[in-house]
Amino acid sequence: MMNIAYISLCGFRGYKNEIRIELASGFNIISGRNGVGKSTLCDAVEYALTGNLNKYGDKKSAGESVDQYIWWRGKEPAEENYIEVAFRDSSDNLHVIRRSKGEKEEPAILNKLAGLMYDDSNAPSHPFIQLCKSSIIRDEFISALSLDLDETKRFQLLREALGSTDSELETTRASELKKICANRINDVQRRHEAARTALKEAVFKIEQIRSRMVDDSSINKAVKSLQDVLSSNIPVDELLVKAREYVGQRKLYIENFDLFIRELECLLENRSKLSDLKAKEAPFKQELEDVENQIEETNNALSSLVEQMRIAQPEESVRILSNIIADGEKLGLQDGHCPLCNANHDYNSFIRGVSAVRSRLNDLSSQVQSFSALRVEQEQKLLIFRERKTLKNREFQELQHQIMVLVKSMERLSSLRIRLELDENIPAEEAKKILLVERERLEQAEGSLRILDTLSMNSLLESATFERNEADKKVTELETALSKARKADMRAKVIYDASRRAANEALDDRLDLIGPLLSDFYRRLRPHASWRDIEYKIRGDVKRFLSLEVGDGLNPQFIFSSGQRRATGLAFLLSIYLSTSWSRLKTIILDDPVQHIDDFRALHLAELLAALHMSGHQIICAVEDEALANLLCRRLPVQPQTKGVHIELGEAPNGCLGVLRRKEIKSLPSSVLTNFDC
Amino acid sequence: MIANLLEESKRLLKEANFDVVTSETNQQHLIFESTTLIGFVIAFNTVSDLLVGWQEVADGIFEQYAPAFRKAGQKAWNGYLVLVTSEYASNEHFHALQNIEEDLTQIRKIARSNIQSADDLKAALLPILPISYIPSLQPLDIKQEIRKRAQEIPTNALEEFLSDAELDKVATLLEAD
Repeated sequence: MMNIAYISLCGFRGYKNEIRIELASGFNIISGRNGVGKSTLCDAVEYALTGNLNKYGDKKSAGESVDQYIWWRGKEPAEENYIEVAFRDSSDNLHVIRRSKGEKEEPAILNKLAGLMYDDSNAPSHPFIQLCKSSIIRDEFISALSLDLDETKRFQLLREALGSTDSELETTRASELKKICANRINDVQRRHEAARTALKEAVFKIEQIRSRMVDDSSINKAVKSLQDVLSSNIPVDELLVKAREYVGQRKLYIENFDLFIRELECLLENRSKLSDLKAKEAPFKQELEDVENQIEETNNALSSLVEQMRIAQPEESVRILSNIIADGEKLGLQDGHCPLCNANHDYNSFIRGVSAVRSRLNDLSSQVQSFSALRVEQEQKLLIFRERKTLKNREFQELQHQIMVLVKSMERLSSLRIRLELDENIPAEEAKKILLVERERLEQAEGSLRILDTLSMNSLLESATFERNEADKKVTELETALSKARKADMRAKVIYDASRRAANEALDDRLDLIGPLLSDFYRRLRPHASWRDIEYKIRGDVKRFLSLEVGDGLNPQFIFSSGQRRATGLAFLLSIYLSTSWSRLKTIILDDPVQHIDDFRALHLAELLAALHMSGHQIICAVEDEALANLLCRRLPVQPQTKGVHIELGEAPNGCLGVLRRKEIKSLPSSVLTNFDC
Repeated sequence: MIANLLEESKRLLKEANFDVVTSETNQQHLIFESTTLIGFVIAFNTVSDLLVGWQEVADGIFEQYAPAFRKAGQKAWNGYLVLVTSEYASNEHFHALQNIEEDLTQIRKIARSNIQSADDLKAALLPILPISYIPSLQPLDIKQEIRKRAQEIPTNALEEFLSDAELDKVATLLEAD
């Protein structure tokens, strides 16, 4: 069994200077006002074992975490930053864990200590953390981790203390196995469904093939019919080939025949039209030539007129003569001489001369107007003739097109007739009769061929039957696989159920074992005067809860005062500590456990700690109240092999925290009452 | 039903390694002492007798053992006066007894009624008795527990499950006939 021999630290939390606290193996009452470092001793033990301070959880503030406040952060630096906790084994050997600031690696001694501090075969995961949780009862935890804890977390705490967490691993594993088996069922079911669909399709295909198959008499009739159509007695296999060729050819023949009849009917309708059109062709040509002649004549007349005007230039003569007359009149007779020709004139002859010239000018002007009117007339005629020519041309082209269409139709008809081997003048009605007969023969051949085609259905049926058999085989295989998967699923459920029941029942058995202890501690701390017993119950099947009841099924969480809840919580946490059977550390550390607890219940706590101490547990209890410290020192028994000390922490004259006084508690006198002689 | 409360108390206290002496002076009572505790047990016939007479009896005892208390020094602070009766207390009396217990002057008092059995008496003396029961939880072989509860599962599949084999392999084994 292990307990704590000393705690030494420097530059840790609120301690700047080195401090070493030698602890008695019996009880250790540590007193001091707020802030003198009582809790730091708990921190030192926890930090030594886990390298962390669990009481802060993952709390962060302003970007900082507790990690930045583990080591001294005062104005002047500490000489060193370390903690050292020595654990004493039952042979008084010391095992020292030392951690210094900046060290990343876990102290090697932890591995050696593991075997000494706990029973590895029965310990939960992270045993040092769990060990601290159960052995260090802090003020913060008494309310937070006890009665005020929700029932699930309370159950978790109990389970970790009882060390049966391995069962959870098995249950988790069984749950995963169950999922795998369920997934397998789903997978096989999917494949089974697909195989069944394939089977249905194969069966349907067979039915379809069978429905298309006919009996032997129908086949014989079809052979005879084809032989008739083809006028041949060749064997069936050759007959089928010939028949398919025949059907192909006849389809083309009938297609052409259809076209021939359409062309023939069309031609009959337009035959008279062609001669009419051809009769129109010569007059049309004559009309066109006439118009062209008219255009040529008009063109010639116009050209002649233009030439005459070019030679005569009457317009220029009119302009010049007009200017001369105007100038002559303007100048007038000059000394009996004409101002233009200087000829001698008197006034009258001059005026006559001017009038004669003006008359000549008027004649010329009339001539110009006459030329212009004639030219306009010729140009209009030309325009009319040209328009007429365009119209006639268009009409003539249309006529020629109609003639060409009809001629081509006749050519096609002739070509088709030759191809269809018909008489040159076969009447349309006769052609239609031939076509009808050809159609009937084709239908007869096609019908017979369809019937004979079912002969090839045998191989299709054979292939479809094979597919059906394969699909059926697959379905049968998957039925077996499904049955196996279901069996595995059922068995996985049995394993899961067995794992869960094993875990739950084992825990129930263990709770039954520690139940009396839980009740004993509750009775000793007596949180409530009326309800002197408490019942701890595990509820739930999958998610489990640890509920507490007093009286007639009442929840103490809702009827106890805060002090009473703390006392109840303390009873629970102390019983958890004592139930931690896998732990070999026989030290219980209590940090200020009596806040909000009245004197009467503080006394109960002292009595309970005395009983714990008598059971061989080292007690380290930090309290603020000096009177309570004295009560504890008095009430806890001092025995020859386990001493008790009272350590008073405080501020030294140099302002640093440290041990102010360390007092060993002396044994009390024995047999003072029982040997008293009245 | 306990025939003699003092005798039964004596037996329990002796079992708990107390030195116990019966005194016939004043009212018959027990004197008990350990390395840290001293105390007295006084039995009353009725709750009323207890409520009416306890102070007078206590005063008599304190007077009688005054020299011993003085000699006890610090130990005298760890004194217990156990007042018991087998009679059932009414609700009113129950609270009166509670008040006696909560009165921390002079000496720590335990005042209990309805002491019918050894267990009742043990419950009354619990504050001074050692922890009598500390559970010894043996390592749990959860695998064996699972085996017990899953006997219909083929052995090879179950053992593979318990031996941390791949779960796919276990699932395949579970499919076997």
